[in-house]
Amino acid sequence: MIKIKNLTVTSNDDPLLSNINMTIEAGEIHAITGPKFSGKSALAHVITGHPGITIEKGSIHWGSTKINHLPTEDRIAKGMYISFQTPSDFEDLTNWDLFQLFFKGNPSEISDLQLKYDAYCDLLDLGELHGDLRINASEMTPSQFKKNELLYMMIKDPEFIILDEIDDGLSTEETLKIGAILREYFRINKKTCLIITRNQELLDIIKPTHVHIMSDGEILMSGGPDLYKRIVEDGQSEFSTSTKRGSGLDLHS
Amino acid sequence: MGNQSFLQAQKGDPDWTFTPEHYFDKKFRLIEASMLEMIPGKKDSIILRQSPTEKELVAKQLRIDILENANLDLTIINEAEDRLQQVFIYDIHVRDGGQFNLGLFVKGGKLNKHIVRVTLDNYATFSSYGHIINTVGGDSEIITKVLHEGSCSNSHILYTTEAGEDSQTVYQGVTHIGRHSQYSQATIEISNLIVGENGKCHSVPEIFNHSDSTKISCGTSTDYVDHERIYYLRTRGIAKTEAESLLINTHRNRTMDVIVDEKIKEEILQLLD
Repeated sequence: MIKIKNLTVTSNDDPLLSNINMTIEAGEIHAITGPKFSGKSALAHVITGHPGITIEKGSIHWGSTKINHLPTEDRIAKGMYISFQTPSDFEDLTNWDLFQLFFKGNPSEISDLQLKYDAYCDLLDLGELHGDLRINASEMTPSQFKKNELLYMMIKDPEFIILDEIDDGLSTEETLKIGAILREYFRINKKTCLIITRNQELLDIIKPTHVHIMSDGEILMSGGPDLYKRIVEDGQSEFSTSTKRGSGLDLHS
Repeated sequence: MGNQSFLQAQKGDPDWTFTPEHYFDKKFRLIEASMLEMIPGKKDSIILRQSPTEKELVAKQLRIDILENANLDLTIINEAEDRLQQVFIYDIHVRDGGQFNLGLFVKGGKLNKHIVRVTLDNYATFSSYGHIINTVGGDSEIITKVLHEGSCSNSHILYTTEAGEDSQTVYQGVTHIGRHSQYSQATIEISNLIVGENGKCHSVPEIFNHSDSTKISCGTSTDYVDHERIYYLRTRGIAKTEAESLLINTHRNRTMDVIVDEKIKEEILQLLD
């Protein structure tokens, strides 16, 4: 579904990612983990076409189509979705305003929007927002704000989903609950997903099919679902930011 | 252009005694002085369209006298050419029980300054709202001075502004509630949006209260069209131009929603686009 080949990107001439290779087939759940500022979110943003990121080398393919220069909205129209670590809020726009904008041009979706909204509010334990489309993001708690991103996702029903640090802002209990909901959502709906997180408990629940370890803008290791656990069990839950390129993880520094 | 004009406005105009002949060290020429009087009890609604094309530094003055219990809705739609330098002065007196609603929509100009001076008697109400926009590298300004001289008088000011690339907007306002103006209310609310690179929005709203039993509120906020917000909207399937328009229109709607007449609203929206 998504193929990233030899991808090197910069932002304002600062290197962000170097020589990234990754192939995500339909139905696979990939997880990216690694220290802060290692380029995980940059990868999510370049896949979705962030205008502030420049592709210096390499390619991103959606199926057989090269999408290096495809505008963000056109990528979304193909079936991508990204849930942000820090979503934007719009002081003067309610959830309903945004939903109307996001689902315009599809009257059938608009017509049963309220039904879907209520159903997914219940599922995501957003009961307090139930039936209230007029709420503004600035009136939401941090937890509601993040779950609202998942609410958009479920109503949008995209093919390929990127979740950027969804546990950020959620309590441990909420993270575990959301993890279980997402695992079932992905399984039942056969979704393809790229999850960015540093939360082992979340990965334990979601059970990704593939795990990639990033540091300093590079993918250092890729492997199966046990890769992250294996590294943690080796005695290091935090990755060293001083890892040298090409030398693998420095687990004991 | 730049901060200089704004700073001079603060420094050079403390008493608000503007004379068109001398301002900012420039010689303006008063080309028009009009007088409008609303007779007691009369109600009216007027639209003034001002698009001067003079090439020199010009000033225009409009005196408005709202007599007892009269009511006037005045909408001024002003668009100035890119190189024009102009100053408009509005001297307004709202007498006992009178009401004056001023919609002021200002666009463009190298220097496009509107000075509104209002005196309110007992039970008089002054309401002013509008939008200032400059996207041509110039400086568009609204200055208000409101004097509450009677009890139970009300003044409400709401302006939104928009500064494009290398452009500037200024709102500067002082409302004085005099010591005989018990039970008066005064509000000033200014909302700025920077839409272009190196755009600047300056706003200094001030209310001085010298009386008892008054209600006042005063505030200003400045935001900018954030690329991350645009990107966020695009990740929700909205095209770039539509996302930009959405953010700008949401900002403008704070004042547009005040306009009741749909035809006027449409005309103003056309002016702003």
